[in-house]
Amino acid sequence: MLINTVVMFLQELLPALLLLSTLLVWQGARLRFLLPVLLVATLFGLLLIASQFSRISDFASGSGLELLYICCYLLTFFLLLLSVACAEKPHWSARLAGLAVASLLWVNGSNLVLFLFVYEQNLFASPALLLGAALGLGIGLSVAVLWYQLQFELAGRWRVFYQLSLSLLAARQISMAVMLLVQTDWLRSGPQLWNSEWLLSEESEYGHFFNALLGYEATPGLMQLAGFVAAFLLLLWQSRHLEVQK
Amino acid sequence: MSSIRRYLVTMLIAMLTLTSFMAALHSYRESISRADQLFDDDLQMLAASLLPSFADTTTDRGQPETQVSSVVQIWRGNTLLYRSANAPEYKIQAPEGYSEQNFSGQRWRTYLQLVQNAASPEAAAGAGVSATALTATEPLTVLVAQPLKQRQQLAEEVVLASIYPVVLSLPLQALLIWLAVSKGLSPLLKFAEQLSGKKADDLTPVQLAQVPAELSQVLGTTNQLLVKLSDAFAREKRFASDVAHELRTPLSVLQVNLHNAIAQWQQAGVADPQGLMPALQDGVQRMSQLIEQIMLLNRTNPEHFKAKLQRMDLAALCREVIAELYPQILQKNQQVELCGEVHVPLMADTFALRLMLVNLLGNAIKYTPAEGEIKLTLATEHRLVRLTLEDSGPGIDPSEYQRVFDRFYRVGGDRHQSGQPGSGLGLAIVKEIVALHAGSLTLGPSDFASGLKITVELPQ
Repeated sequence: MLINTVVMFLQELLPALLLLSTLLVWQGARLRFLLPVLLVATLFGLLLIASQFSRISDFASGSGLELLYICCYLLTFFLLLLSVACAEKPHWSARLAGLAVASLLWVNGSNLVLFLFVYEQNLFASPALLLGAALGLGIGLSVAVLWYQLQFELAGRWRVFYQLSLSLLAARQISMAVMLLVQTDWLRSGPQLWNSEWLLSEESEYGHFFNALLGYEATPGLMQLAGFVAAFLLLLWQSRHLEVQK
Repeated sequence: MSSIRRYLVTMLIAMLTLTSFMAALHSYRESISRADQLFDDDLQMLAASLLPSFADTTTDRGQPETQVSSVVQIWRGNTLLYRSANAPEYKIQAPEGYSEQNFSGQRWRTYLQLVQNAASPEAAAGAGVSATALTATEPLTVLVAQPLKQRQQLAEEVVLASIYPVVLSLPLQALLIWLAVSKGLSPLLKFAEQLSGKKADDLTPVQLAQVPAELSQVLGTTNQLLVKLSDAFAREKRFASDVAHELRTPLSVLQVNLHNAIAQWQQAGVADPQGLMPALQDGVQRMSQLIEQIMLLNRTNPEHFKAKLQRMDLAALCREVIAELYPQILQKNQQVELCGEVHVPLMADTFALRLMLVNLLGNAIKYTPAEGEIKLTLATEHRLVRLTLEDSGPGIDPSEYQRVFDRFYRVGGDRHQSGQPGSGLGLAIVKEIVALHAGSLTLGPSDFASGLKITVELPQ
């Protein structure tokens, strides 16, 4: 139970925390524009999704939740793209960045709500669940803080490092959307390109980290890789003039 | 890095949390694995302990004692020899050895031991039973099982107890880190406090009770710089004072002699055919003014000047300055208007503000043409006093607004079209006085057809 909870928290929180810490390196000075949008949008979005879970699940022949998640992943990517494109208008750029993190949290937050309050229904009654949540949250936040500092140090020296990491995080959202599209048979996966399970297991700690960072899959399909590469190149090109505060 | 303390505290807490939580997780995995092993051993021991009772069919077996939660089934071939009260009546299907099976509505960890017959000494030895005890020909099947959930709960109860302290002690560790970092940085903070608390004229060395090795070099260098700066300021002050004094005396003598010379020439009927004498007189007068302004600038420099703030009335001071400069206003037949509040209380240095007003109003009079207009407005808003001076003179191009506060700068430079004598120091003095009172100074076009508007805002 404890391990499951920790893994669940890491799977769901780490992608959003890594994205937020990466964006804070760029938008840290405009926190007063980013944070309110992030908090309000996350709260309202999650409340709306949580209150309509059964309706959403029944929608599209039972694939409603997957459809919602696909939309959220795509929205996250396009909001990031728009935020980078609007870099000349810092306030709007910060608001769009906050909204991008919020839309990712709609996916991850929904999964956590399902896990904690729908399947288990007794977060505070189960010590293992509570402890697992604390451990998962603690590890996720620590990794995010260290990732922020690493980015801050490296981005100050090599601007391209920041552009690469932001592009990877954005492309990850497309990769996840493609994976869900394949799972729901709306898209053909294409041939499996390789199997790197022997090198890095998806279930290992590093596997979770790389999944959160770049949507690591041990057995990726052609469509997933193609979507990832296209999204990565698009954002890298868009962010070529991006300036990070020093 | 906006704050060393914040950086150190967040980094240390993040690293400590990550390593201790990962270690706790690793320890949890290991402990659960060990606990599983112990439970499995328990199952095996239970199966082994049951074997002797059922291997020999000739002896009376009685009822074996088993744990309440465990399930036991003993079969010889397809004949049930024994089952515990909570075991199902049907034969539980499980492979030999350990496995996980579903029955009775939950998941179980099972251990199945198969003993073929007495002719198999290895099996008997594996079960810890003497070969002679196994007499039957059909295989004996001993199955013991434990509910998986109960095993996990028991294991977790034991293991979680060891992880709780790691998580619960984190806030205490974070507090200790914050205290340690704050303590470590306290000499640096004291150093910064002493530096920021210094007055403009206080260039005495910084003294710290305890100086850590990392800070001693910075402290030593800073104190050396302060000493050098103090000496340089003293020299500059003395030099300016000496130069002004040494120049003022001969200039006064020159002015008197020039005046006497002109008077003697006039008495003697000597003409000044090229009109050089008035130009000479103007030059000497301008140089005297320049020296006066340099001395005032030196006096009002925030680095030297100690403002004696006292409660005063800016409106009354404005009236006094207008009266003082009225002969010049009258000479050019200009209109001067003082508008706004009648009493404007303010904490300020009277000498400095008088100097500021004389400079501002003097400039307005000087550059406003004859019969022009000058308007002084006083207002108080949000504990700020606003003094606005507008004239109907030629004004200044907005591109020059910043530069006119530079020392010795005159609009148009040598090609200054006003024809008015000036040193280019008046607005520099005004700027320093405003800075001395922590106020602000802005320029803009006046509300007249042409001219300049100067707005001074001073805190009350």
